[in-house]
Amino acid sequence: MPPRTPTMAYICHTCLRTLHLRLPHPSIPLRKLTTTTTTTPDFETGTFRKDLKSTLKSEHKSRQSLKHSAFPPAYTITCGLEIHAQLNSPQKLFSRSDTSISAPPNSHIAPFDAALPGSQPRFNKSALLPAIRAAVALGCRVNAVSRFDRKHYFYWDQPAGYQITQFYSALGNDGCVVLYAHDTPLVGSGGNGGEGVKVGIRQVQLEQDTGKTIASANVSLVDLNRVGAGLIEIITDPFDLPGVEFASAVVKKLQATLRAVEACVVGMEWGGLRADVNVSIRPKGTDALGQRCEIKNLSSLKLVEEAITAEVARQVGILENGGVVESETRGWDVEKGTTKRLRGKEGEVDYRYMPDPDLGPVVIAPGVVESVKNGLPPLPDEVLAQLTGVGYHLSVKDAQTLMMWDEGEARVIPYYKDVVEKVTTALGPAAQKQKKGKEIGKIVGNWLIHELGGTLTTRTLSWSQNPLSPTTLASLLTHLLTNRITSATAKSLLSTLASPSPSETRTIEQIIEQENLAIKPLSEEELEGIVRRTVASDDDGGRSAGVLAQIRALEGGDGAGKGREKKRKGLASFFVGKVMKELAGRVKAERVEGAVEKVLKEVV
Amino acid sequence: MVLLEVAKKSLLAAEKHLALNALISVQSRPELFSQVQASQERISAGESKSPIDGQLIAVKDNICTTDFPTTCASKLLEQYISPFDATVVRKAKEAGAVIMGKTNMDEFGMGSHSMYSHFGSVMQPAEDGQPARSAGGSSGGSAVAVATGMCHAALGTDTGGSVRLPAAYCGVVGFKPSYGMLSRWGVIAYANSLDTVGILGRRISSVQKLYDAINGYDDNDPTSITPQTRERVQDRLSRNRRRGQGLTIGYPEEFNLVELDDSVRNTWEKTLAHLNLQSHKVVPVSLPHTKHALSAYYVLAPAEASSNLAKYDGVRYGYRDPADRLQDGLLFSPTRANFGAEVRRRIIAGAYSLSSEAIDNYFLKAQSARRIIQRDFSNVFAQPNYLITDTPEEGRGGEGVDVLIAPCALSKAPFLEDVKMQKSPLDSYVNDVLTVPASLAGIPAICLPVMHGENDSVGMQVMAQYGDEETMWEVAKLIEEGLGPKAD
Repeated sequence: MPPRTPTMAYICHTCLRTLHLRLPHPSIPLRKLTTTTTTTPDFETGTFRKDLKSTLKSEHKSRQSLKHSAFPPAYTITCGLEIHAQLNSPQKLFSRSDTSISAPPNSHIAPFDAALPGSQPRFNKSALLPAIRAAVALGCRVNAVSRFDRKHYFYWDQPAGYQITQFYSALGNDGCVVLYAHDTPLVGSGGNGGEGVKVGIRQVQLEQDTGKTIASANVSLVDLNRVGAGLIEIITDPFDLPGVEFASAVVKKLQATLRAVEACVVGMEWGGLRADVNVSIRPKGTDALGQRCEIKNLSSLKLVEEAITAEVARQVGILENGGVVESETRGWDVEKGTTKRLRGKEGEVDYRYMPDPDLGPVVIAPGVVESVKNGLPPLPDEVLAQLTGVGYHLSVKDAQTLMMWDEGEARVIPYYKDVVEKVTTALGPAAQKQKKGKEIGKIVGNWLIHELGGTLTTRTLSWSQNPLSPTTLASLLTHLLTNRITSATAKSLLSTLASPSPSETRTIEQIIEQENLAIKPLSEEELEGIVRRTVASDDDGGRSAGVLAQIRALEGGDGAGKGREKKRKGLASFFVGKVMKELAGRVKAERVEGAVEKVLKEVV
Repeated sequence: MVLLEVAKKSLLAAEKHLALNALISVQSRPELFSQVQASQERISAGESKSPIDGQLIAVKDNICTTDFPTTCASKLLEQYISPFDATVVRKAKEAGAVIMGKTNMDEFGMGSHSMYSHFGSVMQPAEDGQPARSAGGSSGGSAVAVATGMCHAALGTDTGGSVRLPAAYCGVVGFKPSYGMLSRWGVIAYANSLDTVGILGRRISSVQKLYDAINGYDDNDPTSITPQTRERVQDRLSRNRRRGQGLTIGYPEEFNLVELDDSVRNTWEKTLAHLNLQSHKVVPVSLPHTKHALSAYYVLAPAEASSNLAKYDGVRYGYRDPADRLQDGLLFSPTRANFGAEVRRRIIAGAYSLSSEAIDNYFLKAQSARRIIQRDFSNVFAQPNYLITDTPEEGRGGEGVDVLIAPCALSKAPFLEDVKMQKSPLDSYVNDVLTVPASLAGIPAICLPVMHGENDSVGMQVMAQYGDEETMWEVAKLIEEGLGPKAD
């Protein structure tokens, strides 16, 4: 044992109590650019715009090519993923500076982040908990002792000249993620859809993030805000690809799992998750894996798919022409839509891994992993099973839509459940009588996805900016389901409430009351009066008269049977629609239909 | 105005010995005197902050200060001013010490003669007609500053002997504490697992006073020993110390090298005899793996250095070459070519020993050698290393020794021109053979001058078990009183 005894980072039950188990969510800013850079460089805008344009162009091009791409049938494609995900921690891994997503450049830097001479790391236990959650959620063995190592390479966004990572002994090993038919249809085709396909997780390790480079023609600007933020790197075992979507489904599943346990909450579009992909091909029926190539730094699911497709095509091309695939590190060329060689085997970087001499081991006390495991929120598959089960009756598609809101915003599902519960309580015994296909869970789901979702999308609001509280939405839906308001009223109310003005302090009840929105108990006579007026009206350029004439013609004709009846109903519905419009939907359509039928009988 | 007189005398010495190149930066006269004045007023008012209040301290230029550039004697940091004070500097200032300047050194602490400096070699004052002698390295500037009276005491750093060797060559006291006692926050790393802040002074008492002022746990340094551990180690050591009886003094046989100069060997014997006369038992001991220490050190330290110095690419601070990448795309190479020859040599050696083809045969082997060497020490001391164990029985007990005494350098300081004539740079590495073992083991060691003849002295080293500075001071003072230079 060396004489140095750096302070151990020891995590025990007391830590679990004192550290925040639920860490604050980053407030995700409103507007998105289509690039991974969150800051628009306001210098040399011309270049930037040009870049943006060519990105869009090539994305379009590759999308086109992707549609027609299937893997060549003669080969088995194998892939391995290395996923880097930002840990949900308020502070960086080895300094006291805050993590930030959209802060002004270089505003969150401690001496150690900038690798100032004489500075030293100081491990933040708060970063450890989300990492343990991730390792546990991925079924890994969490090692009681893990250590930090330095990985050396030169780059300007890497101030120390090395990255602190875990190479020799990592936080977690030997886990897995399972993909089911609901994750990708490719699982079903394998014939073991029910069982799912297991993808092994070799290692989960803690490491530092790098800085961000904002490049333009002549200068590269470096933002060190991200330097030293905690990441976990997840390394999968190699797995066979039945189709390219399988790889992105694995990434998606990992992302959903990490979000569900609040280990990593920043989505790919914010650079919160990046993937390196290893690809190799071999003739079908052979066992030995082909030579693999690594494609670095893919920042979206689409890029993962595109890069694999292009790389497979490249490797097939080489083999078909009698060539040999060389071990290479490649990058994705946005312009060309192909992978490009970064370095070959001879140019391979020797990272010269060295145990960090300043940092002691991370020691996890017995029982801590158990506690974390017990306190873990349900994983995506459990959530899906619950949402599609008897409690909520959602379709798989709708459940997944809710789960992947804003790339897996963790607060959507609790919100949804809350609304369902509130509506159910408000309806009381009536809630039991929901018809098949009209279950409360389903109705709330539809409203959440289509109405609220549509409104948020139109206003480019993220979920975190949703102005509707569960109470408000539940109240709205309760009024709808008790026939106090019509669906049209409910929709327009929702739209109003979704753009809140500070002066609006009224409850839903008050608004309905004061704006006179409740369904009017219209008497039969009153309704018939309105229908009569409508049928006889001549304010629509004679259309009503025309429709009426057609109905009369039908009545007079001899053609019997279903065809005639159907046609007549279609014509009558013209008047139903007109009346409904006039009543602004305050009367149920069935009643209006009845009244129209009655009036038509009189008139024709 | 006693303090002010002392300060003036020190500055005069600094001016007189400017040519020795001991200092890289010096505090301005008015600022220095106003600080000393303030201390004097505190002391007169009976509000002295500490025993070093108002004393002039020189700081090695690899320890960060906000008042001066911190250059590591390197072109790459020529202009670098740290935004923070090193913890040891902050503590010294808080104790009232006055930082008088920054001392010259081997670039980034790599060297044994303080001649690999961007600011030129440090030299000892030449004796009548002779050429200048080496000040030792890498804290040579600090040693010369102390020896010539420029300051009361000086901070240095000791990674493999960088405080003790210059102390031996310059005839002053040089102390390397147990690893983890003095904070390394703000100390620019050479080899983190070996680096310690050390102290140089003319007398043990001045070294001890500065040590007391800056010793202590620092939350900013992850290798700083926590208060609980300090307390536990001290508690265990004090329970089992030999009280009211003679100490057992060991001399490691493996340190008796053929290459030892006669003067050194004779002084060693004289020192042991002196202690024996005072009814302490003197016994030979064996540290059988000492022969591996030097090579283990010269694998481990450069490996860590190659990693620590990777940050000097000129992008964020420090010197940046106008062309910062080669034609073949290698980043920052032209900038990094501005390191001195010795630093480049060690970066290359270190990078090699960490490379995937060599790490098993070099770095990992050296690490296990280090553990074996540490075990060697624990096998001879009466008390165990309480950092590793809590069981007193793991020490040698009655058969063990309380301290080890050995020379600090093979000979007296060589002439600088002879050093420059050496065929291989590796010849200088041999100078560290006597100091490196204590560094690898992380134990405290102090080098102090023992008179040899009328005017010469030889550096003798007292080493003790981890955390047992107390016993080390005790024996060192016995030697100083009996055999040290006469007090000024």
